[in-house]
Amino acid sequence: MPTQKNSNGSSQPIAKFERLAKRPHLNIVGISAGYHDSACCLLQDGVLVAAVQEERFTRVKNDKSFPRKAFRYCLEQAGLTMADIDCIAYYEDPYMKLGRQIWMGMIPDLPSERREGILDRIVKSQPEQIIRRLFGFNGPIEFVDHHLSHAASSFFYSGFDEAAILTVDGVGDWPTTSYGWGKGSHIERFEQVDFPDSLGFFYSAITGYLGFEVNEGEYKVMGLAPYGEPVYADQIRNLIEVSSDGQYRLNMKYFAFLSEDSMFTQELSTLLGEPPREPESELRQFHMDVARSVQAVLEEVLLAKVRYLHSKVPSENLCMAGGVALNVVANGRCLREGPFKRLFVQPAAGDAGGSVGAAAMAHARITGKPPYRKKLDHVYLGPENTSEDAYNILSTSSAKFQDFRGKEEELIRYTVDRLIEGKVVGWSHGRMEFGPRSLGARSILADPRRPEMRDRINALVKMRESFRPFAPAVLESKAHEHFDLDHASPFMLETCQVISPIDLSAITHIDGSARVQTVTHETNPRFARLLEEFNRRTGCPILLNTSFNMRGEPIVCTTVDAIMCFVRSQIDVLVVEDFAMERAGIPALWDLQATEKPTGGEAVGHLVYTLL
Amino acid sequence: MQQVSELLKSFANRLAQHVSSKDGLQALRLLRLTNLIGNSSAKPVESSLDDIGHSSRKASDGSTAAPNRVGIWEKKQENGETYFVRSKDKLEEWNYWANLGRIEPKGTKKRVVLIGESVARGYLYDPQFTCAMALETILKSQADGAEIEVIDLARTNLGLEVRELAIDALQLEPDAVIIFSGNNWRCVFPPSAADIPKIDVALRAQGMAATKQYVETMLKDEVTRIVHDVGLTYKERGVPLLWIIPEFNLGDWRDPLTNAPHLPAGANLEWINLWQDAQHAFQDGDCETAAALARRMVELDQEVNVAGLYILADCSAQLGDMDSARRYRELARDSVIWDSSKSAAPRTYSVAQQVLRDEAPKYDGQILDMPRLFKEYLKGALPDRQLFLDYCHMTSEGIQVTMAAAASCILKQLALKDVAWTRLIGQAASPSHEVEAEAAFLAAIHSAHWWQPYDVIHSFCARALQQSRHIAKIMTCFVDMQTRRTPMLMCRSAEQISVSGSPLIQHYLLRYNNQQLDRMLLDAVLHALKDAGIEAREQLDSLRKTEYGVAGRDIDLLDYYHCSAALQPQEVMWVLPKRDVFLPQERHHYYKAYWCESKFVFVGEADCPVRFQLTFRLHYPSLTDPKVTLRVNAVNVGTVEVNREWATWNITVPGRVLKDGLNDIVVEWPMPDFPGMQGYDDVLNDLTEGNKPEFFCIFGEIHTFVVSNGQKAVVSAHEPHQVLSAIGAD
Repeated sequence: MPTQKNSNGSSQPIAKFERLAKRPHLNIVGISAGYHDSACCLLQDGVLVAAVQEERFTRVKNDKSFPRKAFRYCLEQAGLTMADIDCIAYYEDPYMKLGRQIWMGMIPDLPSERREGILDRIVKSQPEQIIRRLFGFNGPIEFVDHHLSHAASSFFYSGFDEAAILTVDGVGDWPTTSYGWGKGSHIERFEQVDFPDSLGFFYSAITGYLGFEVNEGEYKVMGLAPYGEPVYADQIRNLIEVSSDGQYRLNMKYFAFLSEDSMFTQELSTLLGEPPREPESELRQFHMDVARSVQAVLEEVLLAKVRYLHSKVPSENLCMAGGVALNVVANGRCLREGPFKRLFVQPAAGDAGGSVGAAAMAHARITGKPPYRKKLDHVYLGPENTSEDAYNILSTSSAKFQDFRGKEEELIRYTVDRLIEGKVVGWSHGRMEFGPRSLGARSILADPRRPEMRDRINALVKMRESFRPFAPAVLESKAHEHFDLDHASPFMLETCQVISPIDLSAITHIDGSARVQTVTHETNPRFARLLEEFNRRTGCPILLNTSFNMRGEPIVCTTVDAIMCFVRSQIDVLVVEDFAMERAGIPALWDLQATEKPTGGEAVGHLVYTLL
Repeated sequence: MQQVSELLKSFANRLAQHVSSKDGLQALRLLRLTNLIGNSSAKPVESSLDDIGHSSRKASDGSTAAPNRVGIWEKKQENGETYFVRSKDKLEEWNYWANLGRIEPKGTKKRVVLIGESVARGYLYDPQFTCAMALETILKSQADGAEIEVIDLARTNLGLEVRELAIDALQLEPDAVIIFSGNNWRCVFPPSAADIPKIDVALRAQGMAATKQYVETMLKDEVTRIVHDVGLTYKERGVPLLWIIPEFNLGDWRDPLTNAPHLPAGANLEWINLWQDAQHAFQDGDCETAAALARRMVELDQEVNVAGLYILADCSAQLGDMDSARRYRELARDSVIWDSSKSAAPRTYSVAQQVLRDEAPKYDGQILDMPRLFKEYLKGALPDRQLFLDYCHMTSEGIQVTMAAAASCILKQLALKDVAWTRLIGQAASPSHEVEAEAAFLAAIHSAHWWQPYDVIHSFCARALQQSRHIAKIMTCFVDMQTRRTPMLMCRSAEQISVSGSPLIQHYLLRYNNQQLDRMLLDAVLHALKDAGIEAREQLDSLRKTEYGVAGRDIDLLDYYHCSAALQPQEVMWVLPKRDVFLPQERHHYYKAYWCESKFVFVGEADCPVRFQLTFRLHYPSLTDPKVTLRVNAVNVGTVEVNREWATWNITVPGRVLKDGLNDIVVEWPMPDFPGMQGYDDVLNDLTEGNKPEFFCIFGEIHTFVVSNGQKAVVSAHEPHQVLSAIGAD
């Protein structure tokens, strides 16, 4: 014990030192990084206690840099330190990926810049070195190949004891599609389709052709499709040759991504009879028809592959993951028309979710047991903001706001009043969602009964394309009265027909469908109470729910993010934790804070998929 | 394009297996450096300079970079005349340039164009007072009826791209041009990939001096190219050109003291012992011993570190040998040219100054040598806060002297008058007292944020209040703003600054400032306010306690707000709020200690115990007993064993050791077994991998350092199944 001599020479203790033993749990950190949407998660004894995308901290959309801030968050959330981490799991096999990179460099007549770029990537630090250097971690690192990470992220959180597993994305290491099954702690894959043949790239190429950002705009194509007719489906079928088993091949005549910074070649324009659309230019019926056509072909191929999978794995359960699994329209068709009875899609089906899958596989490898048994019922795994911090920020400024601390019912009534008045409300409460969807923790809310709300929010708040539909959040107990839905759908991962007697044009897509989120008290009590109060006052248990962000920005995370998005947009009212403020209460200088640009992070390119 | 055969996939995978071993990948990297595979020539290891338009490898063909543009102004035609307007495409850059919406067509007036960087902008006076204003008033006073105009093309942050700007500026049809540039002329290390093999050999043969020489050579080549391209173009066009060679604040500016980088076996330990002994000797007044010890330090470190050079400079100054003091200060200024471990204040380097002296006259360019000018003006004394607000930006007096000398040259070049510069100083415009006060206060902030000594900071605060008492309100708002946890621009105090502050104050305080604990700065501000009869200490103490007091919340001592108060610039690089674009990105996301003491500050309360949670480890094996000592407010509170594995400790310090307000905690590391030549191997491995090299020995590493109220019960980490929002909790 350290001591200090006092005046008569005797010693007495000064500080008390206690070395903390390593926490008794098995603590596994999962990491995804390098392509887009890097993320970090933490499993403690198989329980997922934290997960978040790096972009939410750096404010760089789709940030692909190694998730340094997300990593720190995960540790802090669980009260852990570096000394407590047993294993880091990485969502890719870097050596398999290296093989793919080398193969890409062997393409004849490759432009020298491309070859140099590939060589650059090969000689750069590999993930193991980055992890050890960035985090200072000397312990074991588990590499879980990309599609296995996807598969695990879905199966282990599905609640199924056994299931068939289909993963489909752009590319990871080599596979772009994999077929397998899961049982207990075991996942097995029996077939895969390898790069460069990729359903993800097939869809991304048309996304780029239609003038949307690759990696980002695919779901815009999905949203545009119902406005068109599949008149170009035959032409688009030329892009992909589908065989009767699990395989398919891209017709590389139409794809340029192997050698150029573009997804498609001039041949595609010739095939479809028009040049590619300039970004931000007018959308015409032609574009809508192309969107519909590619959607139709994608659905056909997926349905065929789902049927094939079932022929090999005759389970009633299907798990899906990978970026293509975010195509909820295709998923819905696979469930309706396919042979499986139940479908689970990982809410963070893209690469961010790979971090969860990698950690889950690492847990299974280390313990021989699956990470957990219960079906994922929410994804509120990110940081939360405290009322105290929100109060501190608001009271330090000259903002005019209302304080509802200890008065939740009043807060809810106030919010419902504003919604009924036709106001658009920015809503930030509790732990942030993990994955691409906002589910009532970081949401923009509005009255779905007002037809003008869709155009207004698209144009003035989100500043995005007018065709983009908005999704509804509905009390789970009331969902069946308004939607053709007989089960819980907490993640906005399936579409269904709107059957409501209420005119819900703001959230009803042109084909009569909606992408629903069902809400319960158990998973989000305040949001559920808001819906209940809205229902009590209006007879409508539904709210328009879209992500709390502006175009080109990540969803808000902190109180300051929420305030700044509120300032920059045309949102009428901000409700952050227990406080509310309206536009008239915004101090003038906040506009200057709102223009601060993010620093750090690595943005993704939008002309071509991130291959390296 | 021919499809690569499916069969080749297995070949590629097999090759990947071979390559992916540690040795295999390293061999591939080294092979690439030879250009036997790939082409590493002229490829920067880390390319970040494009962020601010610094490009060091353009073709030397004298061509204009943008034939219809000069800086942010684009060419327009009207009634057969050419003029230039600010381009909205460059809106984000407008703040860096003069607030000049339109440059009129060349008329009958003599047109003098001033090109330069922030010094030429009159940084910290701009826009209220600028070099261009001072120059124009002098020229007009001497023009005897001839009309003269000065076009202000100075741009803050202008670097090596001055070449393109100077050539483009000819479109304005100038009668004479002044280029006042050189403080942002930097060539960063790590080098281009093609040079790594040469660096490898040089480093092993010469040590760290090789890196300094490499960067100096690169800079010399760049500056020579600029002078050649610009000089030749101007000579061919017959346009008189005046190059102003910048000077540096040799008298006051101190780069922060750091350890020496990797030195050969045994030398690092010797260097540290020499340094400690030299400092003691100097403090005891024994300059002879101190100088001898410092000379040995410089011999060991080969002039790549400031510590020994500063001691030599101070000893020389004590002994009245100002020429030697100047020389040592210049060497110290130059010694940081290679160091990418921390941000360094912009400056002119000797090598660049000498190129201007040697090369400009070859193309008939005139030179205004500021070092010689200031030496003459100060009668041999070192230039200091009289002429400089910081490292290179000048006071109004400095601007007036420099512009007087420039005007004297220009008047001769335009064949208008031959008049000595000494007679022109009084003709220059002067800023108002209010502007002087604001510039002085901004200088205090700027100096503090570049780790300058207290007396410099306080001196500027006092100067500000002497010039105008209106600054007191800005100061108190600033103190408030810096002490809030709310982001700066959201604070009421920032609003008050925006309402009551001049454009000058708003420009700097509300755009470029970072909130940080600012211990020294706020002390200096309060001291100066107190001397002016304004008491604000109690207010600050109370606010600090409310916002950052440990009694009320857990504090992360590794966040930038707190970490920056330690005045250890290498240690904060990983948490900088804005990345220095001249430096490669940090590859680690935890604290690294580059000295035997890591210092931290927190806001505590007397008699309120605190608990630290500290996760740390050693980086290298320890030379001495592997123990870390903690000192709180200079009291040794204990020692713990440490090794190279992360370990977490809870350390509860009794309240009697704490005091109200700011408290210091020092983590004292054991002396490491310095890596010597292995350190050079590590540097080269980093370079071949494309990573920021570690030039300095790491004494220890800290992953977590949180301080909390010691009276609070320790909250155990939640059991996973108890976490409210955990998935899978049954």
